[in-house]
Amino acid sequence: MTNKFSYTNNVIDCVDTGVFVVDKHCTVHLWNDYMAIRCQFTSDDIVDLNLFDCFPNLPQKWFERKIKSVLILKSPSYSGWEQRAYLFKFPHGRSVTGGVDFMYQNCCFTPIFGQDNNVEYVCVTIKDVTDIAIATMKLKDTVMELKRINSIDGLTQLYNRSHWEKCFRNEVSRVNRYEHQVSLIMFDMDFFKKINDQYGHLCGDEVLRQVALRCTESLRLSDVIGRYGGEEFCVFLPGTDLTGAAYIAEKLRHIISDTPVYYNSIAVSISASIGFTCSRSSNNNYETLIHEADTALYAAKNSGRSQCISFFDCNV
Amino acid sequence: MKNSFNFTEDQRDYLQEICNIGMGQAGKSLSVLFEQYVTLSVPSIEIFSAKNLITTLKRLIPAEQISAVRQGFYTHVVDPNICGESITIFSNTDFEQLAQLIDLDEEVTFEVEQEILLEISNIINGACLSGIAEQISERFFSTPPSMMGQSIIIENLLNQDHLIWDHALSIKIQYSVEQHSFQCDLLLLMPDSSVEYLQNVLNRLIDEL
Repeated sequence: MTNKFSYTNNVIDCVDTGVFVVDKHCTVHLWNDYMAIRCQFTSDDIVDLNLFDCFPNLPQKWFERKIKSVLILKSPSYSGWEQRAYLFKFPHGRSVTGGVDFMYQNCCFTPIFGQDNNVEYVCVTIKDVTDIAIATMKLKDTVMELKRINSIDGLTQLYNRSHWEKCFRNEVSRVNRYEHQVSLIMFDMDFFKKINDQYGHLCGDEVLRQVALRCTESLRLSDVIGRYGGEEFCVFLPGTDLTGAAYIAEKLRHIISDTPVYYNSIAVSISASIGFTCSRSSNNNYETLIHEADTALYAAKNSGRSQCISFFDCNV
Repeated sequence: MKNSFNFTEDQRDYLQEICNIGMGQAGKSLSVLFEQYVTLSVPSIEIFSAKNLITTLKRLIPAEQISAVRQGFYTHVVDPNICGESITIFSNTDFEQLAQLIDLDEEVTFEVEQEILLEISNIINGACLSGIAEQISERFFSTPPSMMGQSIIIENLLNQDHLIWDHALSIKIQYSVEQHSFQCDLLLLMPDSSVEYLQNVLNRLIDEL
């Protein structure tokens, strides 16, 4: 064979990856062009120098630990952008379209064996994964936003029915497990159809928004409110007995009806009918509690509206 | 696809022996690396059908929450004698202790926790596979480790329906580092062809005894 390829050494400067080699003292023995054009050191500058003398900002202890593990275990070690964004702060061309001005990097530390099967050098490769990192982070943000949208009612910004139900089901099962108590309040805006008919649907929307806001502000952090349906709302109160629930229900009734909602400078009077119940050992399931609060709510409606009624005061 | 693999008693013993030696080497390397005396429990070995993965995992790992790291391994990409994926499962993890172990003096953030898990998994996996590789005269290549889940319940670890491996080899190891101790389980998941190859290697080694 005469046609022996004699440019192997040049190949290292052709690869689209940062490659450099250090020994156990972190003295540099090889530094490819990819590295050279991204920092102020050419191969001639840096070879035979200590890496940390040239790059004082490197995480020295971390890097030395990586090298040590390769030397001892004789197997590769890795570093990923999700845990450590970069090893070298290299520039990257995504500052305009990606919003980042540095290169995300995956690094690999591989042993280079000497003749006695001991690790003589460690080869470090640096891969540019900025595009993947940006795409992954965007995807994560999108998933989080979708999760949020999926659990929120757009108009009132309260939990929507399906998410509230999930939370309430969890709470009921917790109550059963730890023998706690939970109370449930359901309320419905009085004569809501009239408001819509008289002042228009935009006014009705404003009423729902205001009611949601007033309730959220007056409830405790642990209470969980949701929009159950059109003008119907639901709140569960963890660790609250019937007396506590009666107090909160009355408080809600007041903050809803004491002040009118202003829509285009028109004062719109509003009120709500409220039913509530409380868990006890005999009724601890989701459907029963909803049914009880619902029954109490309709009793409040039928007794002339704008009042709070406990399930235990209903004639059933 | 076969329904189950019946390892003979001899094969099982030999595999156990290979793993013991592999783990012994792993322990020695880890002691040097951590500069602390590392002892390992005798690994307990089990082969199970991949479709029973979750039930088996729940039996092997009684912890409520786990963290897991995966890593691929193969002898050759195109025509591998053995290939598969290893999963390292940590339960009851005390990150402050683990951070001390690998001499990490940074604040232990979510990312640093992941880094610790990936680092330790890679070390254990590398040590274990190279131990086994040496015993059966193969050379394993690995992919970089990646997170499967952090502080999750076992049921959420993976979707059983998406598994393409038919059988899995589980090697349960407990590591103790002086007064600290941490527990982790290493699972080697392999397709049937790799398990078969492994059985042939075991038969050959048994014959050479």
